[in-house]
Amino acid sequence: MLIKIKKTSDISEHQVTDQAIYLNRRQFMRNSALSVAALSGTSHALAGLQEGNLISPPTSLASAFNNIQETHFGMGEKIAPFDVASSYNNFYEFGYGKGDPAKRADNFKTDPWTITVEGEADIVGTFALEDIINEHQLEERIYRLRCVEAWSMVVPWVGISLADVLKKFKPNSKAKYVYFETLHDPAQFPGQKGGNIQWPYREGLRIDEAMNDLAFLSVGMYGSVLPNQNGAPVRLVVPWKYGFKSIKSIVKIRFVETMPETTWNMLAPQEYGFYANVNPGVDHPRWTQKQERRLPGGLLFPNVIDTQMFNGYKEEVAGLYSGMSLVKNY
Amino acid sequence: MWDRKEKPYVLLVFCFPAIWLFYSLLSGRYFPDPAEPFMTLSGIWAGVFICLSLSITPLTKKVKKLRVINRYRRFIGLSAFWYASIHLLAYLVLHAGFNMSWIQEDLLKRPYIYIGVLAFVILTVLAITSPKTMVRKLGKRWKPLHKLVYLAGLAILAHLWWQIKADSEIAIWFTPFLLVPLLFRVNFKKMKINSKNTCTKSTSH
Repeated sequence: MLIKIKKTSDISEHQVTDQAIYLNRRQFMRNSALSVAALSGTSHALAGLQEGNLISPPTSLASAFNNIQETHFGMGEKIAPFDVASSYNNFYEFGYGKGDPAKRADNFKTDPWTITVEGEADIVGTFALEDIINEHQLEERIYRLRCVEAWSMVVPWVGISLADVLKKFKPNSKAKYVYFETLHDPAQFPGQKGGNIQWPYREGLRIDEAMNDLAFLSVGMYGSVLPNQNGAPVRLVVPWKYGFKSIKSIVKIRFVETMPETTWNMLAPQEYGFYANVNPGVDHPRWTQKQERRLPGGLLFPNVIDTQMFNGYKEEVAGLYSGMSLVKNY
Repeated sequence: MWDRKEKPYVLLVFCFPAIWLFYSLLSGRYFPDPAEPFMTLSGIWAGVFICLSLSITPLTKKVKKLRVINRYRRFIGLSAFWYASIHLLAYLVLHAGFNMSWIQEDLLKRPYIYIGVLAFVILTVLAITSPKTMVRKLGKRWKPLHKLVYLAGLAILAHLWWQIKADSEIAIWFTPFLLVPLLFRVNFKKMKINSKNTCTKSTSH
């Protein structure tokens, strides 16, 4: 085709990295990470940002991580440095501060890890994470993640299409929604000892949302496993919804018939709905959603950009909501 | 009253938080999103100085020995204005990146923002009318004008409570320190009104 029809989820020229660098990106990131780490130690200044993930996967997942397939998602987008993505996190189980998870997650135990699958499905039970993962080919998908607080980052996630994972459990016709739960362990999650949130963290998707190709079950980022503060060892990435839908450190998946309760909707129902689709046309009651700060910004000036409908993934997911009022179903 | 030699040191003490804020910002300590920590901290310091400012009258009236604080009144008030200005600037630059459409949206539709603007406008008026020449010019009107600081205190309280997502810590901490000095002043006036009434009360009730 001579005329390239651009998908809205594709980004514009100035945000594209050099192709040679992109193709050898993982190699480049690993090499530069090693050399930068050697040169700059643990400096957090702009110059010394580590680009790659140096955490080693556990032996149970090592071979999977040696064989990550690249995908077209986010091809050429400018990725946030690994240091930034792994040190600026909303993970209230570790505390309310953005830096708390990185500081407090060191001793979080992610191996062994099991996920319990229950509800309206033919295959239920408790499964070791590696048994679920090793049945599939790991992919790298570069997705934009947009927080409801109006900041966002572009992260190269590693994982599997959620649909492929869920299909293996053979959900039956009564499964209209999928419900997810985070680990409940106040000994490891000091933030669970109190606060306004009813622990454990809960989230849910409509079955067709969960089966959409975009919904991603992530076990890694930047070429290796998830750092603890990013929701290790397994989390969702639902890029067309606000970040709080992308539940972290999942221990339970349940196929249910009715809309499940979700943590933020329980906390403030007039502010956080079940669908939580990124939508510049529907403001949060207390701040605007028309714009966002793409992190990292400059030293003084943030990188303020317009928020896109469905976070720029309109083509892939708009069909899920045809006929639905997204103002009512916020 | 003022020992002129003292002024530079007092100035330095009051400016220290600002120096630390800017140093942290420029050295990248607030990376990657400097808006959040910088705005929170500058807002907290503005609030601290407002609380101090509100406490001066109740404290100096109750505890005679503390009357020495009176000469720091203007400094404390101006410091509150200084940190509030930094807080506003942080919002315009670090948070909104001088993006006019974002700022307009916020101003029109976010109650906690326009109540913050109200507090800032009051502080600006008070700052402008703080020099001795203005005190002389305004004469009798100066004192009632500066009582607006209590309205600013209430606006700040609303500004804090209306923006809570899940973490109410800052709002909870500031509430007693903003309300108690206010309540002290109210009781004072009520007592005066009561004492006036006992003289003119009729016996027919």
